[in-house]
Amino acid sequence: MTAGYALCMALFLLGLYGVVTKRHLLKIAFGVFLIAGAAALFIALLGVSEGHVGSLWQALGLMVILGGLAIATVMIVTSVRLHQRCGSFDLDRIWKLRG
Amino acid sequence: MQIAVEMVIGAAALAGIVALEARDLRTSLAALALAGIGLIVALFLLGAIEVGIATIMALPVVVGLVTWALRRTENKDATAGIRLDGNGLLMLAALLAFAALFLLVVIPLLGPDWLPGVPPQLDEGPSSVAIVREVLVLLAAGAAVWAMARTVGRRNR
Repeated sequence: MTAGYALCMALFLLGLYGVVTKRHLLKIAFGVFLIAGAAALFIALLGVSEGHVGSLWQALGLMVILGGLAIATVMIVTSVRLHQRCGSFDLDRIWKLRG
Repeated sequence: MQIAVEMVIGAAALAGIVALEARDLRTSLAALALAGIGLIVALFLLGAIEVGIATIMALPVVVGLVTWALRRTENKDATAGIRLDGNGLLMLAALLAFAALFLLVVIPLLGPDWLPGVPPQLDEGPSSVAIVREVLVLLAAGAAVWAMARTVGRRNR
């Protein structure tokens, strides 16, 4: 399952790439969701390496998925409010409009 | 089964790339939904049923919220693409350094057969990979201090 671990890490790094380099607020929220999904999958793979995905691994995975969902949800709603105020999802433009 | 899981995770990663790089936000959202479905399938194949069900519940929330957001705002991403100015290049370099560091730290934890000699034996001294890892940690710390100092300097100006 080592290729599975590597693919999980690739998915995690892809989400991180979205969070770090994207200027569009919704794309950043997409990146957060991808990071949470990759982390949950990684936890499930660690559980499988012990034979089966036990309740501890399931609880950890649930926490990661729901945490990612909460962050992405708040980000999306805040983005819409910012768009209504500033007219753009572009972080650079919103930053320039400040003050 | 193992191959199927790896293929599904690979497909989810490809869909993730499309989700982040597409200019049309509806295409981007569809790709994100596909990536989420891939994650759900992989979780069920691995036997993580509860996490899979949580993802099944989470995915429609994200897709519905983004659909609502797009209906109220705009569908095009004018900021798509990688900026190749100084800051953009610095960001990409920092991301690549982080990825290298992350892999070097995590790979030894996954098993001794991935990279021979990692972690080094105490009587052998540090291996070349361990030295690279230490140098990368120092470089990342230096870059973080430099970035913080630069931001504070700008704010003061």
